[in-house]
Amino acid sequence: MNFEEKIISIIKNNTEGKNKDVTISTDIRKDLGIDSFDSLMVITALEDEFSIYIPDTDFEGINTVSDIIRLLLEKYPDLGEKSYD
Amino acid sequence: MTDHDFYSQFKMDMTQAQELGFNPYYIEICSGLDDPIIINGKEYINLASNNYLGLATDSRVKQAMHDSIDRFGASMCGTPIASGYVELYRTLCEKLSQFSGLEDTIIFPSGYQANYSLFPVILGKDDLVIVDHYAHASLIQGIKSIGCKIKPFKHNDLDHLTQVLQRSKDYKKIIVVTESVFSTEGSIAPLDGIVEICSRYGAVPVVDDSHGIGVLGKTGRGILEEKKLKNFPGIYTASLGKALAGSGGMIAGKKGFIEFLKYSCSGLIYSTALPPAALAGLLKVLEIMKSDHEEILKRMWDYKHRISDALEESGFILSNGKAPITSVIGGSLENTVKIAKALFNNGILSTPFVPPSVPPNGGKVRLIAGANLKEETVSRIIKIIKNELKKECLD
Repeated sequence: MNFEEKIISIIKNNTEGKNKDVTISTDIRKDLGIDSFDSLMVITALEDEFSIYIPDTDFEGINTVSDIIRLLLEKYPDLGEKSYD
Repeated sequence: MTDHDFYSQFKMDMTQAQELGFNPYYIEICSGLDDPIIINGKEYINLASNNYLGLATDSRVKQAMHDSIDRFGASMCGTPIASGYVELYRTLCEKLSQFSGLEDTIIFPSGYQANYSLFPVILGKDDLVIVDHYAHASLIQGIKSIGCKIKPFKHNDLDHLTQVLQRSKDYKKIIVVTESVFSTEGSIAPLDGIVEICSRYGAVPVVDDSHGIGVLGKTGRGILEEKKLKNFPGIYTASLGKALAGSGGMIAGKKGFIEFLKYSCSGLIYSTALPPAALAGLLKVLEIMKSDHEEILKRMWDYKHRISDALEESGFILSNGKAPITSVIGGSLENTVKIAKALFNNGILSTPFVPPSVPPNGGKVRLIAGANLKEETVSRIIKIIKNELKKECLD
């Protein structure tokens, strides 16, 4: 899977969005009901998956899945060039 | 800014409660936690309190509290570090240590304060807290106030906890935080497994036993008895206002560590100590549990199973919790409130949990049957579930 699909899969596996249709335009707060503590689940999973460090404060302005993708690619451009299991 | 402009920012929107025709919060109870309780002059069955053992209105507990008022008065008007350290305070610390099987204990004005005060004095910015995703707000807020790294692990998932620990290097200290009983669904933490994993990775376990103390284990001593954990290496916290039918919160653990907290926790040092009557009531509850635990716990578990069975037989879906909590899955906010409202209209007080306390569409209605309920009351609850509740909520 590509980077976008990997991000969506991580979000689905680490939130109550498991049984929901998650796309890049999904609003993680409004559509998945993720609060600031839930977002730490996503941050931890992203850090573990990509071996990166994400300060919690980076997630403060995040609303949609595409915001997460943009945030990670700005900091770690190489992540977008790989393929994932 | 005028006064009007200032205060108009802080208006609670009650339209949802009005639309649903029921506000389940701040219901005024005009009696003690007897069977029945009185609301608006009417009799109700109480399945909403954390009065698991039914000792909140026990005559022996009330008498002990009366006697302590006669001897010590209403308050010691001081913090524990000053004049609040009444003889009963020290005795209760000793008895709670014996009860939980730990070396030493300190008592805070509330369980929330105990949890909130603990983390800032033991952790710094370079430390890591790994916490169960479903942990209580007081634990999370206490941890968040430090500004250290927080990593949640999936609820009661030991494999995920192990994974998170394996990937967490370069932290000065690592603390793993969980509750013993998760109060909205009644699930019980695999604390024995958590302790074992912590020892493997050099982490310190912290357990909040608020819904376990008095309830879990053969003699009601809580999660450490339930999981047969001797020489618990971690930090133990609990509310004293649930099964133990008093107020306050405790932190227990190694003697030297508790001595350190006594002089370090702002929530203890700067808060007026529990009044003597509250301490005396708790001491009496521990005494009663020592002699009567078998009979009380048997009744509590029997009621839980009978109410859960009646709900399942009627078609309601329950959380798969093993604690003496019956948690009915309501799903949407509307349906959750509908169940609570139907119970209320049939004379039963329950506790609905709706977002943001639970995830969207994760609404639950919690029922806790205290051991003080009369046999005929439980039979009536079962009849209401199988008839009126089923008809009003499922048919």
